[in-house]
Amino acid sequence: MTSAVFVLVAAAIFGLGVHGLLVSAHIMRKLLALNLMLSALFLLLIVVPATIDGRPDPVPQALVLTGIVIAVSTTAFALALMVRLFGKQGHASIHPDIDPRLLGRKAARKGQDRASGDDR
Amino acid sequence: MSAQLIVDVLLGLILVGLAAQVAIGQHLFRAIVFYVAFGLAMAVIWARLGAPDLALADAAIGAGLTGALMMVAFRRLVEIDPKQAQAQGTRSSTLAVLIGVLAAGMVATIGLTALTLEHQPGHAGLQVMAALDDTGLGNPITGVLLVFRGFDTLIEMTVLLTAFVGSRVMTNRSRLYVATIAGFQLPLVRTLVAVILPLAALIAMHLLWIGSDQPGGAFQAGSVLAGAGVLLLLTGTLLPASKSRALVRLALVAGVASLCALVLAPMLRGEVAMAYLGRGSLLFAEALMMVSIATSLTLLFAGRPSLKLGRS
Repeated sequence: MTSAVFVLVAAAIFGLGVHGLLVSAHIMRKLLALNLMLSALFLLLIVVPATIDGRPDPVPQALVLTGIVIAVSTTAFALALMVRLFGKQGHASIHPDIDPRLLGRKAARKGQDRASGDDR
Repeated sequence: MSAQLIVDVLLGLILVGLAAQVAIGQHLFRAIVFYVAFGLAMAVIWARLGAPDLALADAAIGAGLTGALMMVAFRRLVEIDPKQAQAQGTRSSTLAVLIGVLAAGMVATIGLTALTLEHQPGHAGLQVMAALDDTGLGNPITGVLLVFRGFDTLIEMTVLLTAFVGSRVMTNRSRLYVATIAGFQLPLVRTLVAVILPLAALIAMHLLWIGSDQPGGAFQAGSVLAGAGVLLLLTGTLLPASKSRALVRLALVAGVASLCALVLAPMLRGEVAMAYLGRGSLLFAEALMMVSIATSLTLLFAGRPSLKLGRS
């Protein structure tokens, strides 16, 4: 029963991660979403195999431990890439023409003249 | 039994709620803070599932260091462009919601189906437990990491080293730096460092020492030390330095080198490569891995190839 609960939790987090990955333009948001998806998979990897003496199987545990360290390594590298990209193009989005600061506002503004700036 | 189920459901709801804040919350900085909270909730769930090794690692690396790295990267973005602090970076999309729900459904189907499968007799986990007595280790996870699947760990240390080198190449010429907090002169900060630093060192050594028999090991110990390193950087006791030092380079490659030595050393004694040499050799490798992990993660946070002592 516990396993089923945590499988559903993992599924929900994975779905949230996929959604976050798709709707975010900012690279750091994408990285956060990817890390959520990873956590969900780690949870699945631990919950699904049979327990041994009431504890999770040591082999997937070791895999997840390795995964956690690899996740932090790749995240750190991706963040360094992002800071560099930001320094070059002025915004942290993988689309060269989309500035994440402009997203998340009313879509109606899209039609307005962008040349007038942020009209603040 | 049902009380346990209630606790599980509550923990699960907390985790999903925090994940929702990370994925669809409005502000980037808030999302990062919620990610740290998510990592801590994850650690509680690992503890609940009977995986204290993962709880320790996730609390220190998943929540602590990933959060610190995210925050310092955010800080760098704000340094370049203060308007970045208001970055939103999400838009709403019905299609994305649909795809997210389908992805969740897919994972749930796979997971729930896998739960109904018959477990194979003599699967890897059982074989590890059966062979563990021959190694003289008490912690099966350390056994898997360093004896049965030591090659994975070697590759993992290489990935960490590569990530560090890659980040260094990326940040080499930029003038981005770690902001040190101005409160170093405050007596409270000094006291905090004076209390936490020896404790962190003690905890790291303890985790390393007991790692062979109980939850703990090089990864947990290294990340605790890296946490102490981040604290020292934030308080200005250590400062990022541009000039790389031989000692720091040595510390960075020590983990990979020690694991390579573990692979090759048996050949000197006329055995096959990767033969098991006993507990002492593992402790030696783990100590050096701890140094490497702590150094790489601290330097990844600093964004500089080396460290120097600040004014004290």
